[in-house]
Order: sequence, then C-alpha cells, then structure tokens
Amino acid sequence: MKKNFLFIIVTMFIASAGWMSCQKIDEPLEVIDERDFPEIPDDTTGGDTTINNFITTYVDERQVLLEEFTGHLCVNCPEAAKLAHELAEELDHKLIIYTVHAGNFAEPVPGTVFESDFRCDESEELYNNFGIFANPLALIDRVDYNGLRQIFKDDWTTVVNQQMALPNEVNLKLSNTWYPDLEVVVIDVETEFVSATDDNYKLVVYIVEDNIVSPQLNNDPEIGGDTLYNYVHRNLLRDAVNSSYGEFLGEAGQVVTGETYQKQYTYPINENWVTENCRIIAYIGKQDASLNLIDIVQVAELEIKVD
Amino acid sequence: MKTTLLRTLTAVLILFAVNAKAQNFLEGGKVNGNVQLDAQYYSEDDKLGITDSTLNYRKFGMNAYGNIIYTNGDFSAGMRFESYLNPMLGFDDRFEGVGIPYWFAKYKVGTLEMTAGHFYEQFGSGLILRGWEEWTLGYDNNFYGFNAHFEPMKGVMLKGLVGTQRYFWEPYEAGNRGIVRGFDGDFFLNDMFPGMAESKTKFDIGGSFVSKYEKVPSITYTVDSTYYIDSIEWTNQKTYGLNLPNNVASWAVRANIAHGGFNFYGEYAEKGADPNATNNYIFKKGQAVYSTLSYSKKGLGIFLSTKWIDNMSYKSKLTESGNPPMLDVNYLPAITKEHPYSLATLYPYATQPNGEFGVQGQVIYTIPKKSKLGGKYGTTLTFNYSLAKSIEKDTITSSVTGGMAGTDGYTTNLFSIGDLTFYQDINFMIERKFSKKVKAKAAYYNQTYNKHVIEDNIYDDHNMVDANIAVLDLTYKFDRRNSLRTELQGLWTKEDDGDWMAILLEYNVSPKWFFSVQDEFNYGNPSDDMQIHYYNMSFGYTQKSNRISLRYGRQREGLLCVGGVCRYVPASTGFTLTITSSF
Repeated sequence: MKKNFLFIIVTMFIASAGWMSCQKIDEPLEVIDERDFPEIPDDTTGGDTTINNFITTYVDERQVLLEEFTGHLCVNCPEAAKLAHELAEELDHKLIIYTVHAGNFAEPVPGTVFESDFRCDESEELYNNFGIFANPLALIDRVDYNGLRQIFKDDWTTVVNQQMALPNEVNLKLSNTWYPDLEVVVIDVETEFVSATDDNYKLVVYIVEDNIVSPQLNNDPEIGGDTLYNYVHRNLLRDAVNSSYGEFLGEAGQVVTGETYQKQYTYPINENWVTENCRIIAYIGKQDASLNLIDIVQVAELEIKVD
Repeated sequence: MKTTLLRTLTAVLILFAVNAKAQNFLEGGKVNGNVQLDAQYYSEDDKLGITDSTLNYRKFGMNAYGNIIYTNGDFSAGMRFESYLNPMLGFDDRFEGVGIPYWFAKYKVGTLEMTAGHFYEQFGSGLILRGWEEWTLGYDNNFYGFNAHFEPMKGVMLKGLVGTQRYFWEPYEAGNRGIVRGFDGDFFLNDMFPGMAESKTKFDIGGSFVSKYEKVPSITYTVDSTYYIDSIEWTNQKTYGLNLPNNVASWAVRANIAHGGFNFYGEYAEKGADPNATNNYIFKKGQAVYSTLSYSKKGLGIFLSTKWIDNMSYKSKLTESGNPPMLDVNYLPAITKEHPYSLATLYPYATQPNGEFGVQGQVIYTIPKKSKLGGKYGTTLTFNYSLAKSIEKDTITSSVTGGMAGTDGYTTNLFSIGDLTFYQDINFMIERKFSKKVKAKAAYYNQTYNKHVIEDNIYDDHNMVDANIAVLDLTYKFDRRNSLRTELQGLWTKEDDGDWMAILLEYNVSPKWFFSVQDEFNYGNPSDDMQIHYYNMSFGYTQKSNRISLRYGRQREGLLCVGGVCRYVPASTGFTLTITSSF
C-alpha cells in the first residue's frame, strides 16, 4: 500500500512540474519592427520642390477617437460604420475614426471574393490586448463605459458625446511633408499641455488608408445586398509609425502644463498603398500597466499632400 | 481600500466561525496580541549635516504595528495593523500610510490545514520560496491567497499555495505584479516505512516546485545601420523586442540525514530563464546549492556550511530591483555570522544573488567546569570563519543590446570560484564567568569587506576594507537586582572611515529599569570634520509585559543586515521612543 502511495506522490510531483513548467525561450531577441528610411537632406526641407507638399493641422479643441473593430465577414459592420461616419459628420469631423481589421471576421477566405487581408500586426495586437469579443465593437477614447471599454454600437453616440463634452487638455499640431522622389513622409508632431496630470503620457502615430474598395458582407438592406462588392473601406489601420502604443512624451511620460513637446518621424509609404489616400492619425493617451495605453485625451488626423 | 479589507476580514471571521461552530464560537476562544511602536523625533545637527530641509521637514517619524490573533481550537484568525506616519528615516516613503497589510483565517480538519488571506511560507531552506517579515528591515514579502498543508499519512507533509505578494500598500491588480504558485513535499522516511522506524539514522527528503506568472512589459532595443542608394543615405532601423517569459519556474530537491550528533542538510535548486532587472535581463538559468553539516555533543559544536549561487534573484515582478528589496519569491541563506557588538556590524555582508560562493565554519567548545583551564564555571570558546567570493563568469555580449541583456549573459560552471573576494570574517570569542559577580567576554574579528560589491554593485576590488576589531564585554553583579555591564570596542582600519572606538555602560535594576550611555567615536576619520562622537543615552522601564524605552543621541549611517538582507540607515540625531507590549 505504501509503495502505491509513494508512486502516487511521485506522479503528482511530476505532474505539477509539467503544470508549472517554465516557458522555453528560443529567441531572446526578436525583430518586432523593421523599416528603412532616407536621411532627409536639410536643404530640401525649405526647397521649392517640397514646400508645396507641406500640410498642417492644429487642434485646440477636444477631439474624440473611435477605434472601430471590424472585418469584411462581419455582416453588422456596414451599418455600424455608417452610424459612426454620420456621427462624425454631425460633429464637424471632431470625431476621428479608423478601422481595425482583426479577429475571425477579418480573416481572408482564399478562393472567394474575400481574399484580401487587411490585418496588420498592430490591429491584431489591439484586438487581443483590449479583449475584443465581438464585431462591431469600438473603443472610444479607450474609456470605460458601464464597466467595459469595448463599447457596443448602440452606445457609441452617448459615449462620443460624453467625451466631446470634456475640456481640452492638449493642443496638438500635426504636420506632414511628402518627398515624392523618396516616397517618404516626414511627420512633425507638436503637443502643448493645457492641463497635465501625474499620469505618464504617450504619443501614438498611426498610418491609415482611406477609400479601399473591396467586398464586404452586409445584412442591412438599406445599405445593399448580402455582399457589397464595391464597398468603400474607410481609414483602415495600416501600420504604426512609432509602435502600437507609441512613445513617452517628456521624461518617461511626465509632462508639465504649458510645456511643448515635439517629435519627428520619417516614414516611407508602402508601395502597395495609395499615398493620396493615406492619412496620419496622432493621438495622446495615458500609460496603463495592463492595457498599455488608455484614456485618449487628444487626437488629430491629417492627409498627405502629394501635389 | 482599507475599509474593504476590514470588512472582508470581518466577513471571513464570521463565515468561517459561525458556520463551523455557531453556538460556541466565543466559548473557549482566546485572543492574543502584541504591539510595537518606534517613534523618532529628529533634530538638526550641524556635525552630521542634518537640517530641516534634508529631513524634508519631517521632524517626526513613527513605525508601529499591532498583531491581534484569535484562536479557538483548530480555528484561528488574525491580523496585523501597521502605521508609518511618517516612515522613520531609512524606510521607504512608499510605506507612508496606515492599514492592514496582513490578515488571515485558518482552520484544520483532520490533517488538512487551510489558510485564506495572507501567509508566510517556506519550502526547504527557502532557495526557491520563502515568505518572511523582519520589522527592523522594513522587509515583508507575505503571500496573499490560499495556502494548504496536508498530511496524507504519517511522515508525509504536502504544501501548496497560490498567491500574490505584498508591495508596500499597493493592492494587487491584474498586471501590476505576478502570481506565485508553489507545491512542496516533505517525506520523513523513518516515519513512512515501519522497517526504518527503529533506525538511528533519520532520513528526510523533500522537493518543491514554484512558478511565477506575470504579464510582461515590452522592452525594446533599436539598431540602426546605414547604406546608400543613388548617393542618398538610407537608414535601416530594426527594433528588437526582448522575448520575456510570462512563466518562470523553479524547482529544488533536498535531503536531511541525521545520525547521533551529526546532521547533514543539502539542497539543490534550479530556476528557468528569468530575465529581470537584477540580472540585467539575461536568459540563463539560475542554480543554487546550499548545504550544512553539523556535529554536536556536550561541550562541543561544529558547524560547516557552504553555498554556491548563480543568477538566483527571483521576484514576482521582473522589473523590480534595488532597495528596499520587495516581491522576493525566494530567500538565499546568509552564511556569515551576525554579531552582537556594534563595531563588529559596521561592515556586514549582503547576499549577492547574481553569483557568489560562500563557506562558513564554526566551532564552539566549552572547557568543562572545575577543570584547570575551564575554571569554576567553565569557559566557552567560539571560532568562526566565513568567506564569500565571486564565481567564474565568461561574459557574453549582445550586438543588439550592447550588453549582456538578451543573451545568456555569461557561462559558468557549477562550483567554480572566482578571484574576487566579496567578504571574509575571521573571529574568535572567549566567554568566561569568573565568579558569581563577574562575567567577561572578549572577542577579536578580522573582516575584509568589498565595499564596491556590497554597497555599489561594482564588481572589482578597488575599494576593499580590511578591519580589525576587538571587544571586551564585562558584567559585574552588585547583588541579585543590580548589575553593570561595560563594553569596550575598537576598530582599526586604514581604509574607508578609519579607526573607531566605542564604549558602553549599562546599568540594570532588574526586572524594571535599565540605564545606558554609549559613545562611538570615529577618531580615525581621514576628514577632521567627520571625527564625530556618536553618543547615545537611554533608559528603559519594564512593567509586566510592557517595555518602554527612550533614547537620545546620534545614529551613525550604515547598513543594517538581517540574514543577508540589508537596509541603509542614514545618520540622524534625536529622540527615539520604543514601546513593546503583548497580551
């Protein structure tokens, strides 16, 4: 009997070792991002050829960010997208929207009209990190509403209006210069804090592509049939210019009211994208231990001026 | 938050107890407790450079705790209330606050004992798991969760736990620190097998597994390289992410063999890849070996211990490092002797988790009473030697991070011993009672202290301190109640702060009163301005189990170490009031 008992105990030990086994790390350092960009010669910045390609926007009122999680297989998404854009229209485009194609509904289906893959690393990362459990869902300024950050379509208007009513905390100036020969855009961001808190602030710069025509499933008869073959996908998230959760402003994100913080990025546009449809979206949020970045306080959107 | 805790505690108390024994919850129950309050009033001191602004205008500091424990048969519940208002000098500011960082409810049915709430636990010698608390250090790494002890048969003790650890007053939230899971088994072979019951050799074997889960942060490195296309310079920028493990496991096996006066204990532990702030984010596994051998018989005790440690800092948050040490999952035993005399503790040893070899030997011999050498009352001789050295390391450098980070860090071989001495202590003490009235102790210490390694984490031998210390401790009993104790100490060194001497006079009127005056004088300090008298006057009063003492004087700066874990104590001047009490 005692031998059996010992056997059981030994088995338990081995089992618990397996249960708690450590992760094997094959590659301690992995390349998570790689990009190539040219050094912009100083003398071209003010030169005749490039001055025409300079464009800027200055935001000194509260703007709100809506991150719409969607996919071309999501039948309820066209209706939600329509609602979001109508809302933006009403708000004089102080509501900035981009779409995040990730999860099951965004998977490509080979051999069908849904072959395109609109996902990117950043979209999957956002999808997983924020626990998106259905489509369409949105993050609105990444704030909590009724205990959830994933906000259902029916609450979008309420939450957007609630955020829009908040006072402006940051003035944001966003400028682009397009260098046609190099196919590179140089992005300048300038932030001035009107009222800073003790939180650690980060600036995130994304690139999105607008007006991509590609099929989309649908169940809203007012919009069209079951498959919308020439559906126009708006502001689709393509890439992060300065990583998914951006980089700190000031010293480790500690900012001072009244101070100005500047960042510059050089970004080569992917040859498969239509540059004139590309937009730069820059937003500022607060660092969070588990969700990385929450409570977006300001956002701006700017096109790239190609000629 | 704290009121929630209190409510939870009340609820736990009520639920556990009322359901179990509704009628007699209060019958036969006992309540015990104890309180300690340390309060300091600081004054400005030109000599030490202390002004109100260096004190941050905190003229008063108080650290206090109170334990209350209710026991009723196999059920017990208790809590520890703590307040740091403000934390005394030398304690981290993040301790400021009042609350209940420790509460528990525990019951035992049959051979299963369950604890809910906070608990302290130790597997083996603690190489992979130990929760403990040391008030004087401000050290507390208690676990918060569930702990079970189960004895399925005679001679077998199984333990399991899941919990998070204390971090100042910060409550656990998903992502702000890791979760620790552990399992341990102890097997007393003589109890398990009837055939061995009569054996004079006692065997005890054990093993444990511990694992930590953590949501890992993102740590990145950027590497730029340039190239040319049509005379335009292009930059290729690669961003590398450290692939940090969410789970870090460790395991250990141990054995204890006792035969007559001999006792041997050995433990081997290993830890999986655990890149963290202490080891500079290296991916090497950790290893530790610890063993002790002792022999004792009447009048003679011999104790030998050795340890070899490599990369064994194990915390439940990988970015945590520095002082005060927090969130330690494990404990690396110190194998240097702790001394009772103040100058002998001027140069203490702090365990180096990134790699050290240590050995200690101690012999205690009592020359028998009424022998020629031993005198009427006998004479006790203690010889102790301890040594801590580096281990051999061949460093690996990553081209991406420019340092050890992201690689295995270095290669080493088990039991390899490096050239660098961290610490050495050779000491000898003789204790003798001459008559009913006179008792004396004399001690000599030779200490080698690598200040760079122990205080600054700089691994070289450019700041070694070699100190000789002598102590004479005399006690004279006037009568049954009155006694006078004097300590004379001297420390001689050519390095660091130079020579010291100290004198202490302590008058006891037992059992109620004591008075003492003490002066530590740094007469050999190379700077004339720093040749300071660190004087202290104190008295104490004891009434039943209450003890109140008040001290006025100067505290010298230095490291205070308990079990190889150290706290920096800054210099200060002022009053210290200590109250301890228990019921």
